[in-house]
Amino acid sequence: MNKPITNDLNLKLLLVTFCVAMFSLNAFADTDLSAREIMERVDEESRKSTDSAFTRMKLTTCKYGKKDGKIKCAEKPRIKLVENAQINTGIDDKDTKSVAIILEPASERGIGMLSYSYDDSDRDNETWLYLSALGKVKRISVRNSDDEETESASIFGTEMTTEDQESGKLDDYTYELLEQGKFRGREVAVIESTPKPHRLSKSSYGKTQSWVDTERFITLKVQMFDKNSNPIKKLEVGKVEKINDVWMGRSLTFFNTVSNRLTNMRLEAINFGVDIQEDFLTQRALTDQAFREKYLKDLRKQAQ
Amino acid sequence: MFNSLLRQVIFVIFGFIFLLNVNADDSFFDDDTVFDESGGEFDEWSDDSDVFGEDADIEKKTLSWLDLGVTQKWGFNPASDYSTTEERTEITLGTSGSVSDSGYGEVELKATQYWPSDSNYSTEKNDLEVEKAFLQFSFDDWSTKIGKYTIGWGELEGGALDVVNPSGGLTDPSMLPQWFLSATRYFDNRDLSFFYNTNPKISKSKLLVLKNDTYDEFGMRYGISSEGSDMAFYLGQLVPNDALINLTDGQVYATPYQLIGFGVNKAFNDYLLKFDVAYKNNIQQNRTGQFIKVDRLDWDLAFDIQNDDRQWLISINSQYLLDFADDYLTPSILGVGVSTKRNSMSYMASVSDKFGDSDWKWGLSNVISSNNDLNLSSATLDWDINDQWQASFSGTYIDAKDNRAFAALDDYQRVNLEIKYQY
Repeated sequence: MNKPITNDLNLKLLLVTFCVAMFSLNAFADTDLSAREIMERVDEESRKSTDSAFTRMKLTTCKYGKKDGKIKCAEKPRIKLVENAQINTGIDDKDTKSVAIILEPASERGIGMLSYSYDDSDRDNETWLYLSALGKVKRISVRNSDDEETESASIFGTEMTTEDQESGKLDDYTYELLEQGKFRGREVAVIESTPKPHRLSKSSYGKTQSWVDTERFITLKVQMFDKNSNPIKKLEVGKVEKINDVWMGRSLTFFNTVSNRLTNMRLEAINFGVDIQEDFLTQRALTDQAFREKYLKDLRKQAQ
Repeated sequence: MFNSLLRQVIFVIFGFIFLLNVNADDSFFDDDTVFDESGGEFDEWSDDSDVFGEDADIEKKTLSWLDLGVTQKWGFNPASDYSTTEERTEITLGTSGSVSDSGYGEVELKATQYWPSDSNYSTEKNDLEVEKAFLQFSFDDWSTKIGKYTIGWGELEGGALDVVNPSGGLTDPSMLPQWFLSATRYFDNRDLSFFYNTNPKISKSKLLVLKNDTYDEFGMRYGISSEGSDMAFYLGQLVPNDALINLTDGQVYATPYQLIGFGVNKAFNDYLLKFDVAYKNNIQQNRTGQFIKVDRLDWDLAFDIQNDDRQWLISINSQYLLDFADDYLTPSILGVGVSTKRNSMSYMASVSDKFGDSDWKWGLSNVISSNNDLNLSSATLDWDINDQWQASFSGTYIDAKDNRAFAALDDYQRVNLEIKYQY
């Protein structure tokens, strides 16, 4: 029996929004860029680094508490192992197409999700799920409405939501540089992003504050606030490494400070510039398992 | 004696696995862990922060290629002092993987043990069947698939076009896989698929004999996907999933009918609109003293609404007889003819959600079928205990009109409990 999945598995690489890359040759120790320019660099570099990316990631979720002053998982964590292939497409490569396949746990193995994400605010993102027990592909309705009371869909039942994954749409926000200084030994700029009215109505967040490494243009931390300016969620980026000449965080942890649950996304393997054909990122990848396995085998080989 | 022993052995194994799991869990629930309000800063956060410890490691399976599932099911009838109506143990063994460079296969076997209090026990004490088994090969733009699996047609489950695979029955909507040979040709945003089935599965009462030989069934689907919408055209000759009793000779028949259909979905903001329509030719129909074939137009319209974890499904379904006479009859469950209505309408509404951020999920649904001849309400409570264990509790109640086709189901009550382990 297939476990019903209602979540939008729009698994664009997390790096798109938060784990952003830059080449060290372009470093700015003391940036004089505006907040908007910094976020543009973050977005720009992220697109370079995530195009044609093949990733294996582990999503670990649990309820947490503090023990001896340290954050600890307070229950046996739920673990999902996922493979994801993604390309950038559309005008200026600002849209994305991706397919995510669950490898573990056994009860969800083989469930596939195809997602198309559009940079244009007027175009609704699209998601399809293959339900083997029903023998068909199902289009999933995703949140695009203006209902302020709704929240964006959770991904795989984790603390990550589709909104956390969104990239681009820079014109939908205003940016303010709050502070510059040292954070975890890095030069950072703290930038507050406030959604414009048309975006606010679609967002779960009233504003976000991002700690951006201004040498690497990678976000090290994000604090999310609700529409009453209460902190509700936080992202911590860790294990920052240079992979294929790209700086990135291999461990991203989302803390839901309301429900006291966290999700850690750890990149087990990632490869950029992999040859991913657009015809793989179609519904065929969901229904034709032979085609999918053959393609994934090839991607795994390229990734080695 | 043997059954009793077997039951004890299964319960011991089941209990042992459960015990192992509970013991394993104990180490993860630490009483010393304090659930502080954690809205403040986590300044201590660093790359060395070890939130999960060794718990974050995926358990290495002894037989990594083997998928094992054990399900224990109980059913009780509240209307009869909660007497047991269902008590069975299901064990599934399965595996999947690549076959050569361009192939993929899956196989799953299911063994069922019916215990003496199970209503099925009098006719069948145990059962072993191939639940699923298929090989799929992919070459260029073509894909072929042979074996036992499920083919889903149409947008709405149980709708006008969802006619290829039979379901488990009125109170069990799960689809039953069948043996098929199918092929699909993929284009850019379109696909054309065919299927052929030489031995269609037909649901019928075990007390009745199927009069006709089985017929082959085959069909074609042409699907088109575009931004914000998917659509498909259907054509086929199908055998009814449920055999129909001929009220004149008392035997049951399942003769093929022809279908032309169209299904489409369209996303609007939070909801998904689904529509199916099908013209069906040569549908079996009883009328006074005769067993005839008629034409029927079926359609359904549904809204699938997703709002955070809450999901609504609202649907309306119609079966309209294009040929009609006042002496048309519909057999009741007990085999008595009642008058047929030209347009049979059904309505369904369901909602499901999680309890906050917990591992508990609830669902409610109501089905009004055949112009209110039957009203089925159900409630479910699912507990996703961990990655291996799930438990489900459900209740069903049916209110049926007297002297109509479903009268025998009036005041039907069931409470079901299911515990599932997957490894």
